[in-house]
Amino acid sequence: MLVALLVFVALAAGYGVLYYMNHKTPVPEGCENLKAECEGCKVTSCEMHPVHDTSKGENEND
Amino acid sequence: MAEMFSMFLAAVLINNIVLSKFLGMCPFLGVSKKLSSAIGMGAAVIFVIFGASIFTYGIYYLVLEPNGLDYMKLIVFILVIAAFVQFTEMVIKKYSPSLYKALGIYLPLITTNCAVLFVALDNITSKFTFTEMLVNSIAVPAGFMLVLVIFSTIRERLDTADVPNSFKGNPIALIVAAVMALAFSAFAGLV
Amino acid sequence: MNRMKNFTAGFLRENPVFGLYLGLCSVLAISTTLNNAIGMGVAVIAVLVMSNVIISALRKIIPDEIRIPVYIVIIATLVTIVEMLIHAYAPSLYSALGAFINLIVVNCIILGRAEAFANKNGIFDSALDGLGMGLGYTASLTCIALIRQLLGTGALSFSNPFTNEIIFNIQIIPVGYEIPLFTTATGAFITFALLAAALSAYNNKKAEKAKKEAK
Repeated sequence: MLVALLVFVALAAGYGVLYYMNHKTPVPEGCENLKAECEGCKVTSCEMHPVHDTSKGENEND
Repeated sequence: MAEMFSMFLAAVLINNIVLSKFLGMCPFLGVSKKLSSAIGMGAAVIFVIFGASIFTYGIYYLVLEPNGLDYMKLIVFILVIAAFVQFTEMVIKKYSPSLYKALGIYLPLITTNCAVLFVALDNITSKFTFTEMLVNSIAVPAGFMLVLVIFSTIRERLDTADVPNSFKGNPIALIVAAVMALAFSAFAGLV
Repeated sequence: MNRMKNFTAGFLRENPVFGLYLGLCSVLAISTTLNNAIGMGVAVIAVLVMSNVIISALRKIIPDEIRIPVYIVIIATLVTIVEMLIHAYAPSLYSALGAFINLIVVNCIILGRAEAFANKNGIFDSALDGLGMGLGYTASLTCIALIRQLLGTGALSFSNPFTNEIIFNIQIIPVGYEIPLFTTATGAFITFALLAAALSAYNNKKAEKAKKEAK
């Protein structure tokens, strides 16, 4: 039981630290506006959806 | 050696992860509009599945199994995969902007890609040895990439076709996938 | 009234499977028989309702920065519990569903609802939303399974997953006239594509009507 908790806490902490460090690492130059344009599902709240693509003009979203 | 090769072929062509196991459908439909994005996504998936499989395999046999923590494998694996993706993203952000430009945008999409978790679990439930695990973790995503690249070239052509209104978008893509699945089922007797 | 609307959204308007294309992996793979479809549906409903309730209860405690990792851990825990329950009480269902119970963790519906609904709404509303979306998922899954089992094997059957006792087994298409293609991957893709196209045709027609009325 104790080992289980230890393993879990270690992994969760490791993930948390990596997540935080990744967020702190700046995006390299020229990659700020990269979009995957994933249209696999129609969930427009997903930030991969092309709806969020601001680099194009607003009239082009057909 | 020959055994490994036939295992590789079986995982790529016969038990293809997309066309016979239906995993990774979201990126299969979502990131297959252009050949370039299909190649980027495929490469990112190969890298993540291979790396994450080695980590999960190691953690399972070194930490979980000796301590009788088999029941925790789902939580542990999903954490390891997510952490691995974060780590990879961070490293290529820092050291290789050009690689980040090509693959970086697909990495966040991969954490919730069921193919990664499936391969990690499959390596354990199939009781693979270390070498078998390595072959499997390369072959499965290679099959994913093969199908994704073929599919994207078909879809590029489909753009100019006159498709019935209600089939536009995903439905016609799924019909194409059905035909591909039929074609791939011919490989069944290969190995 | 508003609550009712949220609840029914999962069936047609925002159907997670045919409308939003979420959770396709399990839908295509599990929809071979009615038994698998309903078993999987119930498992997803259980996880979805519980995860929505827990996440909405904790929504003010979880820091916004690391909410996704926290959601993933909560969902993985719930899936492990559900998996153990199925393993213990319905072993035949467990072996039929295989890895797909574990893969509920990465089913976009669960994380999507946590992100889009549960972290903004109260506990009761979130539970209702989870139930509605889960039922929408189960209904779509059952619908595909019905078509595939009927055309592929010619019979419709359902058995109690706990005791394996057959509840009904009706041969509708005479033996020799069934189309085994529908039990294979190709059949899954075709069935799904046709149903999705039908829903999209229905939506198109409705949109056209609305346009005409607006004029």
